[in-house]
Amino acid sequence: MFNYPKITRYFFATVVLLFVFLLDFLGLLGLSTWRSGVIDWQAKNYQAMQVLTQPLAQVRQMWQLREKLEDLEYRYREASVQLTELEALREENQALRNLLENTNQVHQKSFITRPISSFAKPVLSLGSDSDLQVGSVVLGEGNLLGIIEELGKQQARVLLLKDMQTQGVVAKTESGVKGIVKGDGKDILFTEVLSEAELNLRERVVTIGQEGIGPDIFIGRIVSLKEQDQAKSTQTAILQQDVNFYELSLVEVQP
Amino acid sequence: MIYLNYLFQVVFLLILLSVESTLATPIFTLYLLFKLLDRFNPRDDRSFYYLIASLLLLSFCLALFYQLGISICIVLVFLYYYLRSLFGSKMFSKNFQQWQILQLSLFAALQIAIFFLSGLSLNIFMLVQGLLVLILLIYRTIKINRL
Repeated sequence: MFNYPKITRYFFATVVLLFVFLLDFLGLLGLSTWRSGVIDWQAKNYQAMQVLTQPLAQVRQMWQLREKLEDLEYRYREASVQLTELEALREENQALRNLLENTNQVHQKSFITRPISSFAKPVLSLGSDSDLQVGSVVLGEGNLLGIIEELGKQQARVLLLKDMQTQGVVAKTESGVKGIVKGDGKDILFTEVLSEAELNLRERVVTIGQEGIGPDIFIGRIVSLKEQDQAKSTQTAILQQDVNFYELSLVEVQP
Repeated sequence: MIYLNYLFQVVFLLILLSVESTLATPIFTLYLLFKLLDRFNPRDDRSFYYLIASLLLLSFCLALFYQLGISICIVLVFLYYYLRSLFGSKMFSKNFQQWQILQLSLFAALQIAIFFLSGLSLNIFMLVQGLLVLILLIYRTIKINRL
C-alpha cells in the first residue's frame, strides 16, 4: 500500500532541506569569505573580458572618432567662412578708423580704470605710475567728465566740471555759439556766451579744443538758461550731462 | 573513469558559471547542468542522494555567484527541478512539442527569477548570450525535425 523506500527518501530530503534552511535562518551559512572570493574572481573575469573585447571597443572608438572628425571638418569649413567674413569686417573697420582719425578724432592711447568715491571726492585708481599727468582728460562713455587735478603714485584726484570754478573748458554749441564751461560747485555752467547769441534748450555742447583737451568731445546738453544780467554783455546756461561720474563702473583717461 | 569524466564536467560548469555570472544569467550553465543531472534519474537510493547533493551544491553555487540567499536558491532550484520532472513524466507529456514549450517556459521563468533577484541589468553580453541561445534553438529545431 505504501511505498516505504520512496517515502523514506522524500522524508530524508525534506529533513536535509529543513536543516539547511535552519542554518541559513540562524546566519550560520553567511559564507562571507567565499562570497568575497567569488567577487574577486568575477572582477578578474571582467578584466579578462575587457581585454578580449578590446578590439571591438577599439572599432567602436574608431567609429566615434570618424564621426568626430566629420564634425570637426564641418566646423572647420564653417569657421573658414566666418574667418573670411571677419577679415572683411576688420578691413572695413580699419578703413573707418582711418577715416575718423583723418577727420576729427585722433586715435590715441588711453587708460580704462575704475572710479573711486572717497568722502565724495572723485578719485581714480591710476596714478603717476601709469604715466598719467595733471590735466589729463577724464571721459565716461565719451562724455567729458573732468580733468586730473592731483596725482599720487597710484591714485589720481579728478576735478569734475561742476567743480571747475577757477579754470574752464572752451566749448561751443551745435549751432556754433561759443563759450566757457565752468562749475559753481553745484551745476555745470556754459558761461561767457555773448548776450546776442541764441541758445536753444536740449542743444548739445562740445569742446572746441585747447591744450590737453581735444576737440569735439561731448560735454552735455543745455537744460535751462540763467536770468540774464542787463549790466553784463554775456549770458549763462546750465548744462546737464548724460552720465554721472559716481554712477559709472569704468572711466577712460586720455593722458 | 566515469567519475573523472563527471569531475571534468563539474569543473567546466563551475568555470562557465563564474564567467556567466560576471555579466549575465546562467543560461548555458543550467542547461548543461540539468542535462547532466538527467543521468541521475532516481531509480535507487544512491542516485537519489546524489541528485539531492547535486541540487544542493548547485543552489550553493548560484547563491555564491549571484550573491543570493541560500534558502531562496534552494527553493528556486528544487521547485524548478520538481516541476520539470512533473511535466516531463506524466501529466503534460502527451506530445513532444508541448513538452518542449513547457520546458522552455520553465527554464525562462527560472532565468528571469535569477535576473530580477540578483539585480542584474541588461548589457551587450546578455544580448550576445541571447543570440547564441536563439541560434542553438534554431539548430535544435532543425536537427530534431530533420528539416
